[in-house]
Amino acid sequence: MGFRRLTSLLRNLLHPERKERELDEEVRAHELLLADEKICAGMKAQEAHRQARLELGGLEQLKEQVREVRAGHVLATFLQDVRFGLRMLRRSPGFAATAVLTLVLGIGANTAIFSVVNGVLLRSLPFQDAERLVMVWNRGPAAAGGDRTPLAVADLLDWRAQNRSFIEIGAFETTSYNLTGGDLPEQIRAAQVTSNFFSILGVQPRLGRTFSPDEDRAGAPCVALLSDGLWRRRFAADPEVAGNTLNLDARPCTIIGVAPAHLDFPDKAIALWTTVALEPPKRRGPYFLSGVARLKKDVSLQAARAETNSIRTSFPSAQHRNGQFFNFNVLPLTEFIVGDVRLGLLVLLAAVTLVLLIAAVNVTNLMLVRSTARVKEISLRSALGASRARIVRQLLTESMLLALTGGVGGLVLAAVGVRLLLRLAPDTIPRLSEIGMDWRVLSWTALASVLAGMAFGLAPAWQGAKLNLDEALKEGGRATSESTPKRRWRSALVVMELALAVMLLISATLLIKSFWRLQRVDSGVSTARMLTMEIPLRGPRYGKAQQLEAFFPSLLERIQALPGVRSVAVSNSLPPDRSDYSDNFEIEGRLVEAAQPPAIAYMILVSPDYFRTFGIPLRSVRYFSAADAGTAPRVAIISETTARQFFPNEDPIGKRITEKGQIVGVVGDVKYTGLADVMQPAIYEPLSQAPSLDVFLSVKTDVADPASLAAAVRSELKLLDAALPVSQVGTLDERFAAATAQPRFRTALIALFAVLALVLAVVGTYGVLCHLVARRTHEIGIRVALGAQPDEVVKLVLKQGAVLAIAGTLVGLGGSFALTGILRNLLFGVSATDWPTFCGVSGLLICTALAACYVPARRAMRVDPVVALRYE
Amino acid sequence: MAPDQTNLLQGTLDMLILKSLALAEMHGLGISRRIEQITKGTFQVKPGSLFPALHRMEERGWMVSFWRESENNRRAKYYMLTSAGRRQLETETKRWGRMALAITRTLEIS
Repeated sequence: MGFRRLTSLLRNLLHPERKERELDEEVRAHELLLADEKICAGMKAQEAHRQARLELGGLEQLKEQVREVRAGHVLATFLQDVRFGLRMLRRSPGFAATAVLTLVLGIGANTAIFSVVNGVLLRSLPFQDAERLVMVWNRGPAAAGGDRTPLAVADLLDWRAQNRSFIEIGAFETTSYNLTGGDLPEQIRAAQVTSNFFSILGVQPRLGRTFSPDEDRAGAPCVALLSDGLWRRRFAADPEVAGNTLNLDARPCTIIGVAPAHLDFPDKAIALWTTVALEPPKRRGPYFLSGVARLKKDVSLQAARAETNSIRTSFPSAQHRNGQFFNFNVLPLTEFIVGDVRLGLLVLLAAVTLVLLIAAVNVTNLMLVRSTARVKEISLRSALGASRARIVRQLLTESMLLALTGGVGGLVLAAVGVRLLLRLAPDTIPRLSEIGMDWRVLSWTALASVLAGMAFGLAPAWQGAKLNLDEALKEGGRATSESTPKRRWRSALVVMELALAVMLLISATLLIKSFWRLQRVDSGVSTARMLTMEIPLRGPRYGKAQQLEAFFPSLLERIQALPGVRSVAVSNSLPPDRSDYSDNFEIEGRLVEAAQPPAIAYMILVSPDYFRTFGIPLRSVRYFSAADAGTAPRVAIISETTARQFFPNEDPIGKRITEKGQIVGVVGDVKYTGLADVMQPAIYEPLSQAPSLDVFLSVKTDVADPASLAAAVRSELKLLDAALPVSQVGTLDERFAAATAQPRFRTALIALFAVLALVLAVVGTYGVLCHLVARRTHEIGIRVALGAQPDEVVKLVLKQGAVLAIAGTLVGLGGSFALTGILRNLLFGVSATDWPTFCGVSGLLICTALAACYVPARRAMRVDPVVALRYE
Repeated sequence: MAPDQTNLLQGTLDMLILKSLALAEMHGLGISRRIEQITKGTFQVKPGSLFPALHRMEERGWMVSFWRESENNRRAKYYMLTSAGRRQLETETKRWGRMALAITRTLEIS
């Protein structure tokens, strides 16, 4: 388009009235000139003017022809369509409000969930070439961590020595430190990493430097990088912080830098990165590292997997001459960060998309009903020369207006909704801080609105275009019975939305049911009236085993003496999901088959009263007692699962576990690895014989609100050691609730969407049936006049509704069977084809749909034949 | 009417209008009378074709318009060629010449 064309376009759009006036004058002048010509030729004035007007033809058509060649004609028509559309919508505010509200709900819910999906799953990770980063674990037995069994130092060294696929290989473990110095002792979460950790991730510090190569050797001085949060909180964002000293577990550590904000790897609670001390291994275990590495540019993940699994392990144990029992599990880093929540989020997105579809179907139905009412207007337009394209464009413009209004409203709803979601979302969902509106969210909303608008605009537009002029004008908008294809269309749409609602309801019910099951899992302990807290013991006071042995009894005695305390225990693990320590073990006198994986169990280190405090039942012989002291012969207690798995046909009592002691008892199973996990083998050892510094204090109280004892317990602890950081104080019930926070969040949202879907679908069915009854008033009047009884009329309408409801349910059941594959992995203790759920939801939907039909049916029953026959 | 035919006729009409304006500025009726006169009545330009063509060509910058008194003292809208319009007339004339020649030859051969 040239410059001239552009300026005329602007002129035409900005001053249409000036252009119009000029055109009018020009045509009028032309007419006068023509008349003059004829007068000159000898015609009478009056006759000359008449002839001139005739010659000129229809003034309006002429002007329209000129308008059509003007620049911006298309845009001008569009604006006209918009103005007209707005006027039409204003004339039926009930319709407009219903349609817009439906769309706002549909698009809003969709946008809100999409912005969560976008922030958590779609935005790229804050690492350089994040797709080249992988995590590496061992693939071990479930008790050791299953597919995410940690690596041993020996694994890391073997892997590094034989590596060909990776640029750099590192590892980390997470731990916690007691941070002292300054005001309060504080327990912070930290990552101990190999010195190349930051260079693998491609992350630059915001201040100072990262670790240098030899800082992860055993005996190297302690150096640390602060997280942005810790730097601001503890050091008031001091730019000169590098070089200062921190006290970690009473050990001095030099600050070398500050990590960039939002670096929440390996998890978002990390406040500090320090180096792991890689001591040359003497045996294969223990397993505590997670591997992280950067792939070489030209190596695929598959190739790296194959190569990594061909690595020969050093330190084969005496019984395992072949050496290799574990193989490595190489996973993309994104999988590690968002893998756990991906499925749940995608299912939520699918759910809101179904809601949006139902909303669109509802609006389509409304539009179809309205287009029937507008037959007369549309046929009149066609008769006056509007082309089909012009009519389709007009109808599409109207539906786009609705869709975009819905989209804007949806964005507002989503902005509020996301804020609400973030407040309710469990902390365990990664990358929550990255959720917000961005161009992806906006384009998603725009796309959803436009697609929805096209969907429900095209149906009536298509019908409008197909309109048979003669027929329509003859009918003249009279309320005769509708054409069959139109009715079929609408029935199909009702069936579709009922089917979508069935699918959502079934998914929601399955999730609710599995959540209910999860809540009722037997954890093996009694959670009532329990107060728990974490008390990591750090510093020189706890350096030696003897010191610890003296500390625990005095701690337990003091707490036990508090009023309201029934019993008290210290342990390194807590149900339902706190256990970090698993180890392999051998049973004395038993030969291990070469091909067999090593025996691994969770090691639960406890004080004598632990079992009584948690109400863990004794299955045989005895619990630990105060007599099992550090100097006494070493003893162990095993869980029922351990007994069943490792002593299938013999009595475990009296057997000895290498380096751990003689089995003196068997106790009931307890879940330590999450409620949804299968029961893992556990071996209990007395803390006096196997000391641990990372311990939990658990108090069984006599009071209804165990949290009310927290202050008393804390002050007692302070008397014992003023520098003892106490964290995560709360009841055991709270811990159980937190462990199910993600499924609860997910289930609550899906249930909300399912209810929304049900309401929308029922409203849709109701609307269509009301319309059908209104259309059939005439026919029903005749029936009644010919002697039909009221209940027969009701049956007539209900039958129509029932057919739709049953068809919708059947289609929905089919769809649900197709969905089971996706849902299966989110379910717990419920089959994805749980028949009571399928039957119950079908029943509910059919009943609700019939209830929605009842109102129009009653209306049909009351049809007065005299009125109905006159009604035209 | 099929689109190619419209284009052909439209191009011809444009050329005739440009040609009639080549000597002097004129109003709409004057242009159609001039075309009738040049073509000895072969082409009678109806207002329904004339006005859209004039407005289109004005927007393209081939002519400008202004209001002025006509010879018999009526206010009328006059059109005048711009230099772009003159160039366009030249191109159109050349194109027409080539096309006419080609068509004549085709007809002679067969």
